[in-house]
Amino acid sequence: MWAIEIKQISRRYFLYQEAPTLIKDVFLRPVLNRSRPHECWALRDISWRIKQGETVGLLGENGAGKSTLLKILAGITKPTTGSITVNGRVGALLELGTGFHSELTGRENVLLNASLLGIRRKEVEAKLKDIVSFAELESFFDVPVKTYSSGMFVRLGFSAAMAMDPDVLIIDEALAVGDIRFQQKCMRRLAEFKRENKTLVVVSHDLGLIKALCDTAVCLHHGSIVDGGDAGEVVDRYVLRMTDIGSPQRLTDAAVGRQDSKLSSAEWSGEPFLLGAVSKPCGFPRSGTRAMVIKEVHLIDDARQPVVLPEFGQVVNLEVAVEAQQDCPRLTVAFYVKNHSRLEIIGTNTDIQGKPVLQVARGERYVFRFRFELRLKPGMYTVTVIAANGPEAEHYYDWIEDAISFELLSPHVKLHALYGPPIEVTLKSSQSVAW
Amino acid sequence: MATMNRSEWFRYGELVSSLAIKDLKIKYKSATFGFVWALLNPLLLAIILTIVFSMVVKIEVEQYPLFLLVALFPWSFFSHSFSAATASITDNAHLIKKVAFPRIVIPLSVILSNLLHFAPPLFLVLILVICFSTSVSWTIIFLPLLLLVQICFVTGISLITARLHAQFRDVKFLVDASLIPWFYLTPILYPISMVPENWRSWYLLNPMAGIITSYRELLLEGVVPGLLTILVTCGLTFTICLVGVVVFRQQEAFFADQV
Repeated sequence: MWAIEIKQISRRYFLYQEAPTLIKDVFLRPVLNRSRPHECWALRDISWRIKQGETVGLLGENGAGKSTLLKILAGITKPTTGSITVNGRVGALLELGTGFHSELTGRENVLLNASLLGIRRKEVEAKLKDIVSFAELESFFDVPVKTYSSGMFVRLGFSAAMAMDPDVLIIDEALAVGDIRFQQKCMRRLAEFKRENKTLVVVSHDLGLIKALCDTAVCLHHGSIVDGGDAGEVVDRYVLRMTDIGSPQRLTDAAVGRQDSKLSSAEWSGEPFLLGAVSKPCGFPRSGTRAMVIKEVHLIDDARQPVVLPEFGQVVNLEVAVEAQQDCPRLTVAFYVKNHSRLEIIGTNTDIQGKPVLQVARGERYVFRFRFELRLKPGMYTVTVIAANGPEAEHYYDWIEDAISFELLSPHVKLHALYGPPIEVTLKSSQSVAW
Repeated sequence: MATMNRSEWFRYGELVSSLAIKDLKIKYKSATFGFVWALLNPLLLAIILTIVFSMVVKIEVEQYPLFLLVALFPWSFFSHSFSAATASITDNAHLIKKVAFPRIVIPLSVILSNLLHFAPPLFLVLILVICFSTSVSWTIIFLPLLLLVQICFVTGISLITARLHAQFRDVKFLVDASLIPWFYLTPILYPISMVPENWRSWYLLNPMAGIITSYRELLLEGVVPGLLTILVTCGLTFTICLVGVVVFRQQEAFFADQV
């Protein structure tokens, strides 16, 4: 069952140099010789289907067409060509508290807002209590919203929108508001919404949020869908694409593989994990200027044995070997350990660790070692390694997404969260309780 | 948005009234005695016009103040609604850009709010007519029907201008400018009988002329408007109304990008 089905939609806009007027552009058109409006396609030939119950992220740089697509999904505007079918009631949080009028009270605004969404007054009146208690606005509900703080405004907007019980909810950057506590409350509410098998479309520049919240994602670029699939992978490919802009040469994966297999790894003991061989599963392109090349990446234990199936709590060493192809005045090396939903669980760089930024001459080789403990939830993990020109890198020498992977297999370990530090539990009681 | 079933029409009917009530609430909240202004403005105008036209210009009409008021309040309702509804789409850009709903509810709600705003003055006129008119007639029962025709006319013409104003921002100025000659070309200050005979059929092409004259005929003269007036006025009104709905709905999906 599709919640949303989009077939080959395109959307054209006309950009006017000055606002069109009836007198100049219609009555006096033949006389005035007005410049024709500039034509601009915000979306081109987009086809996209969203399953019911799916949570989808929408990515893309500014001006990629995200907002236009959301407006079409929300029914606010129509595509120039193509068709869209939406099953169920659509709720759109394109801006929290939209349509709230400052002179009206919270209650009046909620009722008006609901009727804008086509919901009967009776239906909403039954929900007013829930809305107020979720927004925590009990004493302010019958006061004009002009007296609200911005946080209160936003809380009322979110709880009103959620109470309208949409089948498809569209959220545009609207979650980045309110304090931490309310944000978490919103996230819990959205998780509940997902459990009800409802569809969620999220646009956010908070890529971590997309990874954490979404099942799948699509990426827009210049009005076309350029990528789609698992949310974590799409986000990581998007980051790579965004950071790769301006790289002079881009080696093909095949070339990378050839180059690496020719290397001798004299300084290394143990079986090297060849690049290219392990980075294939997700198919991330390798990016960077290649002034500095990551030659090898290994995960080894203290006895210098390769680690493929580490235990919970095992101490491992991540070794990254680099070689300068050109003089590199500034070098820092960074890594991330990412989980199956591609959230960064462990990560740092040499600068954060208090090491100096290195100046490297052409031909020099270095091996960086990061030693850390894997107190992680059992599951698949991948390691991304990056060689960058300094901590606030403008560009990257070499960025290998998912250079290596490992699986943490500890069936006896039960974790409720991603990270499991040692926790000590004590009990104090007025009675003497044996514990 | 394009097709709606009956329950949706009903639901959005509720929306029209809540938006209209919101409009009124805001109007009254920000100005004390908001509805008094609705009375006061045309009343002041009526007093001044009475002085000018019964003492200075001397139009030969019995009970000139009543004669004037019966026309002036319906005209005020028309001109205020027309002007406000024309700008209603752009005035509510914040809603149109962010929420999906049939755009037609916005001009409709503006007209409804103006109707409610002018209900007390119109009612006052009715009382004055009953108290002071020499011949109150049964024809007064056709008043709601006449009001309905007027609402249809203002709705139709406002839908056309509101749609145009979303696209061309000078339409509101043109509308406001047109209201001044329109006021003088409509028999408000003078009876239609003063218009030269051979111009009168042209006069009827202005539906407001037929409507305003009919108010006088129903309330003051106790006669039913002539068949020609009814046919021409109603014909024009319903044509404009139909055209208005069609051109508005044709474009409404794109208002979000224009405002």
